[in-house]
Parts: sequence; structure tokens; C-alpha cells
Amino acid sequence: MSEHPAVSGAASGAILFVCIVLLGQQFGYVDLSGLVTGILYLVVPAIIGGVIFGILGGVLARRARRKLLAADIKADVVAAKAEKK
Amino acid sequence: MSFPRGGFPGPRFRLPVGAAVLVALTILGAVPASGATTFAGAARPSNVTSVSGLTASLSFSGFTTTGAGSPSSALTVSPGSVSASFHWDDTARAQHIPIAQAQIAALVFGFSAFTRVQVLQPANSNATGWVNLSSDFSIVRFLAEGVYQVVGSLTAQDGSTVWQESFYVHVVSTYHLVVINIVLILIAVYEVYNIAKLGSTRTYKKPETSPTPPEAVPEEMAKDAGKEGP
Repeated sequence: MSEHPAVSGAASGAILFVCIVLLGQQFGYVDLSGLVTGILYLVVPAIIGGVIFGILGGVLARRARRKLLAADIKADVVAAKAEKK
Repeated sequence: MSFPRGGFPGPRFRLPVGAAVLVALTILGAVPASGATTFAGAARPSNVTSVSGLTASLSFSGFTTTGAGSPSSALTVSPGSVSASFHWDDTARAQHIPIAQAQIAALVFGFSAFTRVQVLQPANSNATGWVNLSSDFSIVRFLAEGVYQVVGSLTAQDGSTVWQESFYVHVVSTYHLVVINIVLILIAVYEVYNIAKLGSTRTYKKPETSPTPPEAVPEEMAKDAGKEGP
């Protein structure tokens, strides 16, 4: 991946939350008629979604990389043991 | 619950996760369709402003708009043809205001998204009168739905607004099958997939290198070149 997982997660989270707000308007939950309230209803969830999913993206990526590293080390150990035999 | 080694969610979990999000969003949308009140707070009368002495009323697609002053009490209408009827009464004033124009507009982010104007030519100077507006939105009925604030207004000959009422309309499409909903759900599912992909080890695996060293190729080529020489 070219960009940092946290940045990627934050972007995805912001878009996801904006989509949910717009769906809420379509389904009759959210009123986006006013300019100020409409922008607030979009911007605030976008920030919240960005922060939450930015952190989540970073944590998930770190966990996945740790797993990958552990698998590599395990493979090296197995290969070394096989060479000794 | 244990997840496969590929990271959360594993390849076989991605489709069920996407499907679960889709179902959740569909259920979320189906709830207000049953007629449940979706906004917090009590219903309030519509917001009316007018010059003193002039009274008017507006009916939207056959419904009286006076009680639809909040999203919770919005008038539920189907997409398609829309009709609005203005009735005004200026008998309390000695000099009647000549009504020249009736207008109805739906607001999105404070801007008029759909506007319909009926110009009276010549202006109506009677003490009482009515104007009918009708608009056909059949073409865009599969495009969008949702709650919109609608502003109906009567304008005098000099261009000043003499009566204005704002109320809420909830446009409900059949089964919520509109283009915007489908596109938004697809984007949401794609973003959920993107976030899930961040936890997969396959995303961070380096591509495997070729086992043949590149130095061996020029030697062989050199030998072959020597044999083939004159």
C-alpha cells in the first residue's frame, strides 16, 4: 500500500460516515435542509469517522504486520531446523 | 470467535461482512417507511410570515401544511406529480395587495433544489384568490427521496414577499429503490471492505523474487554466441 494504513482508514471512515448521514437523509432520519446544520451534520460525523477508523486502520495494520513477521520468523526457524537435520 | 491467519476479516469473512452491512442499512431504511416518528421532539406548526392583514393557506398534494413545521411531522408524499394550492384572503385591508407570483421551492443545504413558479399576468388585485401549481417529477422519481424543507411564498407586484410558509415533506419511494440509495450503499460497502483489507496480511506481503539469478543469463548467452560464430 502506498499510503499509511491509518490515513487510508481515516479516509475510508470519513467517507463511510458521510454515506451513512446521506442515507439517513434519504431514509428520513436526518434533515439537511439548512446550510449550517446540513454542513455540521456532514462534517462532524466525517471527523468522528475519520478518527475512529484511522485508529482502527493503524491497529489492524500493525496486527497484520506482526502476524506476517511472526510467520516469517517461524518459517526461518523451521528452515534452520531442517538444515541441521 | 477465532479469525483465520490472514487477519480480520479473512477472505471467507469479507462477503458475509459486506452482506451484513447491506442488510443492516436496508433495515435502517425500512423502519421509517412503516410510519414511525424518526425525529426527536414534538411536531410544531409550520413557520408562517406575512404582512399584517393578509392571511393565506397552502395545501400540498392535498394535505394541509399548517401542522408540518418540523421533520417529525413532515407530510409523507410519493414521488411523481406534485400539486400545491395557495388561497389568500386580504379582506381585512382596505387596499388589497396585488398578488403577482406564487412560488414553491424545496431546500437542500439552504439552496433551492426544486423550484416551481406561477406568474399571474395580470396581477390579481382581488381581496381573495387562489393559485394552483403543479409539477411533474416522474423523471426523477427513481433518483432521490428523503426529508426536505419546502418554502411556499406569494409575491406582490413590486417583488416583495407578502406571505411565506415553510414546512417539511418526506418523499418516500417504493422499497427505497432510488439511485442515490443504491450508490451510497455500494460506496459504504466498498469502504467497509477497504477498512477490512487493512487488517489482512496479504495487503502487506512483499512480492516473491525470481529464483534465477540475473548474472547467469549473460554467461550462457556468451557461450551460445561463441558457438554460433563463424
